[in-house]
Amino acid sequence: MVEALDVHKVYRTGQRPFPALRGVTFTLQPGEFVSVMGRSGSGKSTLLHILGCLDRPTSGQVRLGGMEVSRLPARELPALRRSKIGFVFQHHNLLPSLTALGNVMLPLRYSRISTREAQNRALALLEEVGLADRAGHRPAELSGGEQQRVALARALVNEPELLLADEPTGELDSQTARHIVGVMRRLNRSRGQTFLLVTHDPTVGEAADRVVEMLDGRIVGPKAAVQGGERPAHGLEP
Amino acid sequence: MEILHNLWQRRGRVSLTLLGIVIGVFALVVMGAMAERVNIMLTGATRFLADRIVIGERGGGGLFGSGTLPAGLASDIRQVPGVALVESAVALMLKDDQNFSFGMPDILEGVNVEEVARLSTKAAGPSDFKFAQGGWWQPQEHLKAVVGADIAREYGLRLGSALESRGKTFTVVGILQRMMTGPDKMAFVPIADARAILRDSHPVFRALDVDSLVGSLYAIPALGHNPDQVAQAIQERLPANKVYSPSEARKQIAGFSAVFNLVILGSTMVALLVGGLSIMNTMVVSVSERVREIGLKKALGAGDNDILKEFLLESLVIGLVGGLMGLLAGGILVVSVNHFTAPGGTTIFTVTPRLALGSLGFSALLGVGAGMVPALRAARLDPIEALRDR
Repeated sequence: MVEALDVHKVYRTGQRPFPALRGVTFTLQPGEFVSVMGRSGSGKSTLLHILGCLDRPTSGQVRLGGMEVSRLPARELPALRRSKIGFVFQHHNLLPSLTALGNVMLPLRYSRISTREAQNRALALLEEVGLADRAGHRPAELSGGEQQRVALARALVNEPELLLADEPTGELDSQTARHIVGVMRRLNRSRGQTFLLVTHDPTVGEAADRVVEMLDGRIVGPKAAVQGGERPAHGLEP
Repeated sequence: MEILHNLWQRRGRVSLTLLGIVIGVFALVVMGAMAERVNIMLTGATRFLADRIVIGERGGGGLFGSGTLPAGLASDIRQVPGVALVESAVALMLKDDQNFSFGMPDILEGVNVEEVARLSTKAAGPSDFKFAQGGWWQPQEHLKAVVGADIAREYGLRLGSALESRGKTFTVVGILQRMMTGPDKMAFVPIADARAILRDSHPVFRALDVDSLVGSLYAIPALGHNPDQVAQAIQERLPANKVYSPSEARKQIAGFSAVFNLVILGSTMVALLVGGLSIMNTMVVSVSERVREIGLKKALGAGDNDILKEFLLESLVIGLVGGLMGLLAGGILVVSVNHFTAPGGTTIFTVTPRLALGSLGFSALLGVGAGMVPALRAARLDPIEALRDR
């Protein structure tokens, strides 16, 4: 379970402080597939960074799997990210100097797992995303969709509790974007990990269990899932 | 592999950086090899003089300067308690037309065979003359020679060979083992033959009674006696002369060695400093080009130390590769020059294991040291700011 409790984030750059988040409270249940939508400047990416332990809230609490993470010392955050969180970014996701296999293995380098074990895990995930035969190719030799699938495999290789994606389909054409979302949805169902996607893309919204809408640093309301209303919106406070 | 790929991607810039290190290490290897050669010879000299007390002229040429001393001094010195025996010598250039060469020239040294042959019985120290072939001539013999290892090689001498020197022909009766010091470049002959050559070499010597003169005097302390104390006793007996004890000789040699090493190696440090700055520049640019990559790695769970290690490893590889190439280039030059000069009896360079490993170690250290500041900068990047970088 992922919980945000009255989270505020104020950036103090320049003359005036800028409140990026203004008391965000919500809960993600294990295995949910949730998208966060809103205009630029609504605070979506800030929320993602805080949930991903890349940044800390100015006030409020964040819990991952029951553990309060928002006040952890900075030196403990990398280990937390390694064990509990996976990231997929919009662009420049992969290291050009590594093959697809090397990119998927990358998080395991910092987990001190043996190379053989890391290789086995990485290959298994490439298999799951349908790219086992491209393991030896460098990113420059992969299409945009293939690169995002490799990024997805990398995000899952550490068996995280939470996968965070920041505009994962932002640079893809619509057909490829739908394909990627389909892969993510399938992985979410088969592996049971919680997925939170920040996006402008309605394709992603359509696939989500629920959509959270943000405006000016606040959650302004849930949107009901468009997929036949299978799961009701719940656990939200404006 | 990632490091090699990264370096290959920037091969133009990395090559220039490597060139800086290669030049620096090349200079270190060549100059260092020259210094090592001198160090070895000086170590040999220290060993040679470890149990020899040098008696010279006051105000003369110091430890290695030869002058003219009365031969009668030898009997005065023999009477000093603790003196086992006295070596007298008359030294001349082996060839009239000796050209300038690096290091010690070839010397014809006239010695009293009765004195030198007794060395092994009285002193038994590291400065003993050890023979590879043959031995000393008999006391009444003339025109015989015992040659050092470099002389034998330079003139292609074997036992029974003829050695031409200063108008005389000597028969080689002994070849010494390599001592890595002065005697390697000496041909020892009966002192009477050397005095005859000296007498004939210049009109002024015909006017002198050269039989009563020697060029150098060494006192060998008896076993069980403190050489410095024996030297002190000799000095008290011969106040008009300058007496060098083994420890004083050691100090003089060490002082010369220190100055020589300082000059040689100090100059190479300048070249290496340039190479180090070159690495630093390359790494600074590398970090600034890979800010987003660093942010990505941090998002994936890399800690500050992980990033630091990755960049330090990269600069270490650059240092080591440059060091290897510099060592190879320096080694080729050193071997080539030695190949041309050695037949003439002169070896200018010696690449010791200490020098080779030291050069590699230093270049690796330089790489790490030069890469430290940019690596720290990379490690301390904020992941969010880094991820925003295009």
